[in-house]
Amino acid sequence: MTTPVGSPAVEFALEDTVGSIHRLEHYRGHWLLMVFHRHLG
Amino acid sequence: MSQLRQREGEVAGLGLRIVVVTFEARERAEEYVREVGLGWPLLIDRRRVLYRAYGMARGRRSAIWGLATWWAYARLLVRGHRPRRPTGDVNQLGGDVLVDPVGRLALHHVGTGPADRPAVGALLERIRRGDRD
Repeated sequence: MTTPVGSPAVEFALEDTVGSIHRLEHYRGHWLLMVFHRHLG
Repeated sequence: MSQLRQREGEVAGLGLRIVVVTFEARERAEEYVREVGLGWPLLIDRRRVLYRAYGMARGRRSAIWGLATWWAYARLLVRGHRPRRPTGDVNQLGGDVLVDPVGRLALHHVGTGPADRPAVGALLERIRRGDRD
């Protein structure tokens, strides 16, 4: 399943490893690449 | 991701922000950042809400342990990396989502196997041209 290109990106609020919350809106005005990792090995 | 890291200068020059998303536990995520010296934020999605929202599936055994996987492991070994025994869900597949500056999807790639990722050069070229695909 893929989401159609041109659709609005999914909103999110996720914490990183240093405790900062990242939201989609923080990246407005920039290209954003989200790399979904498999297991971390 | 190693290809992206090799081109960090180019990535920065394009104003591209990168975040890596994992479903694994915080302790393992923190350890991973230290191990590989990850310079991008590693976001923790324990409940896999964002994975599901983007259709990042769990792979079939045949897709996970196919020839491409063994080839990827072989390349790591040649480069001197010794893969460790995975602690997380080995069936969870990954993928890549590129969002343009106004918040719309420019690329949505769902991996069909562990080694299935979009070519980094083509991805950077797309940003340079401001394309969606």
